[in-house]
Amino acid sequence: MKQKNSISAADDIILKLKILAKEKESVRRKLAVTAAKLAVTAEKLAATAKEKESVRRKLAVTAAKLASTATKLATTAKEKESVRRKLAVTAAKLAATAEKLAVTAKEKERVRRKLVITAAKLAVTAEKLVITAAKLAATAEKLAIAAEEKEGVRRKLAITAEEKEDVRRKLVVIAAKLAATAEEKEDVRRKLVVTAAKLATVAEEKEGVRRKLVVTAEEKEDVRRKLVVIAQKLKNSHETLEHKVFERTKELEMSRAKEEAILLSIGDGLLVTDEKGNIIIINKTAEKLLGIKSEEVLGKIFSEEVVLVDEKGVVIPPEKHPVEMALTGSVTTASGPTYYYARKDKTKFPMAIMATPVLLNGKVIGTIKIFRDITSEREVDKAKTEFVSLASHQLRTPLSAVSWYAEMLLAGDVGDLNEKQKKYLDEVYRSNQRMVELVNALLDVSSLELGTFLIEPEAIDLSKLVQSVIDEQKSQISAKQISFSFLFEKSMSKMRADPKHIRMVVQNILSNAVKYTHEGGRIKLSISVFEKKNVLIKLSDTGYGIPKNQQDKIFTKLFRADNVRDKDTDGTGLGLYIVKSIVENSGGKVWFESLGGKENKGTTFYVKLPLNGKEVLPVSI
Amino acid sequence: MVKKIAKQKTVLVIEDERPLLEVINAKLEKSGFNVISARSVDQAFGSELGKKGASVISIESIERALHYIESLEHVDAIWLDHNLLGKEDGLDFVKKFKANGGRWSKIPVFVVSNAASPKTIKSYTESGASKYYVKSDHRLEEIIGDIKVLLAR
Repeated sequence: MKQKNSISAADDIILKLKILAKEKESVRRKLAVTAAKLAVTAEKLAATAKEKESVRRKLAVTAAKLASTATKLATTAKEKESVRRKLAVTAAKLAATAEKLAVTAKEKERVRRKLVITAAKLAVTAEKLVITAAKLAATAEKLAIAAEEKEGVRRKLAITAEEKEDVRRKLVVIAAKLAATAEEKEDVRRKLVVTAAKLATVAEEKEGVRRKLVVTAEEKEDVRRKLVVIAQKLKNSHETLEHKVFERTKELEMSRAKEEAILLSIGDGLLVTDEKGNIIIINKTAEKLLGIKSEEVLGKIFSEEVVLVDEKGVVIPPEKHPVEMALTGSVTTASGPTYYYARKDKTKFPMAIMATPVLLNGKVIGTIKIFRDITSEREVDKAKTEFVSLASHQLRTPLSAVSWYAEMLLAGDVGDLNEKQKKYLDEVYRSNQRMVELVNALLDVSSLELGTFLIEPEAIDLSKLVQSVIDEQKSQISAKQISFSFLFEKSMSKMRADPKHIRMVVQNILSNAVKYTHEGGRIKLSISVFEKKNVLIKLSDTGYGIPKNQQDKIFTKLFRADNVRDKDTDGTGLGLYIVKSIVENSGGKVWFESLGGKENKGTTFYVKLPLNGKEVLPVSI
Repeated sequence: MVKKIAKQKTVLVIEDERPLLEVINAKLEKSGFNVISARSVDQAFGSELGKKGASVISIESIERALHYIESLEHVDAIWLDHNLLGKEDGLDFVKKFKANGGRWSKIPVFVVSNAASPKTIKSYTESGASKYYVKSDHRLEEIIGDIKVLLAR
């Protein structure tokens, strides 16, 4: 049993081995197949390698070709360069040729001109030929005559023909020939005759035309002579006119030059502008004052060329310039002393300006402006003011000392005085007071005369002001037992005036009235509105009056009427002069009525002043 | 004659004319005032210039004057002339005195001068002076009377 089992197991193994062998065989076959495939692949690879090698070689060949092409191209480039150079040379040659052509053109031109000349010469030659033809015609005629003569000879020769038969025959032949020639000549002659006839006709026609022309020429000559006469006349009158124009122009030139010289020599600055404000004339003084040259400013707008400033150096806008103002309105504008001109070198000077519009048919066509430097005038003004202030101080100081010391003595401040001492001292004091008044009046007068008296109007209550003056003089009024009345128109509103001046006016006329009225007399003062725009101060007294023969002198400086000089030594003769000066400078008027000479008839003073006050800075008389 | 006032008031008088200065002082004292006087600003305030009798007034001297017034124990009013000696005048003094705001800057200043230009008078009143008198037109009594009235207020 056991053996059996072993055999079967061996069989099993053999079987398995057989199977294995079969499998190995199968694998080996597969491997063989694979090997065969690999061999094929290897071969293919080898083939591919060969192809690649072949391609590489081809490429190498191509590269070599390219290199060769490149070399060729390089060569070509060089050739091109060479061609380019040749072309350049050719271009240069062409340029040269062009130049030559230009030269040739010039030469051609020259030749052409020569040809023209030659053509002209040919024309001349042609004319000569015509003349020659005429000569030939003449010759032909002569030949015809010669032919006739030859015919005569022939006839003579025919008579001797027998003898000279041979000769004759020959002559006949010659004659025949001659006849032929003669016929030809005859033909030409006839033609010439026809031509001559035609020429004769033409000549006749020309003669006709010439005659007509001669007639026309005569007429023309006639007209020409007439024209010559007219021309001569015209020439004469033209010469006269020329002369007159020359004379007139000379005169005009002279007068223009004269006017210009006058204008330019004016001592004040003169400037003339057109209607637009452009400068058209500027004189030497203006050039000098403004530091400008006429050629720089002529034709330019004045207000843009010259800077106008005020006292502080603030620039005045062009539209406020007097010239511009004169241009806009047809009013003359005169400026005060507050204008200064700033020169180019920055210096400035005060000036008085007057700009006047130039009117033509009511239209402004320009302006004339006159101005001057008022520096020195202002200095004089300053000196005047200084004089008045200095004089007022110097004159019043000793008077003040006398007055105040006398005052203390009289008051008994340094001990009592006896009656006589008091009386004497009182005289000293009163005389001194008169001196004070005189000095004050003199200073007022010099202020007025020097023009340093300023009028500065302000709104004032006239009744109050007058009342205060009355109050000041009340003691004198009552001391003389004068009956006094004051009437004031209540409807009157405030007026504009300089209170200091009104006060001086009222003080003066009132103190005069009090001074020159008898004790127990009468004074009436009234104030009313007069002619709507004015105020009238009326002051009447029953005083001494003003002598008729001295009434015209009453307002004269330092004048005192005879009748009061005898009665009262107190008085400066300046009061009414000051009153008149102030009133008139304030735009008012002062006058009086007095029966004069007749004692106690009194005087009435009238002072008329504008209600709106007139501003005058400064005033002068 | 002399009217004694309750408390003696002090007036500083600045005047350059000797005769006038003397009579003003005398009348003020007679009227019961205590007077500090000087011919010029410099002399008034004891400057060296003043002592030597020099009469130049410079800015410094007005400055010194103001300084001196500041140091005063008491002052009630100033009597001032316009024409002081030197370049500066009473107007310069008033302007500086009123502007410096010192302890006495509110006291009244009476300008008594012979310079009578309306412009000068206007400038003084605008600068704070109480009143302006033209010397020759006014009695001492009048001016002193006005000072009394004003100081009594």
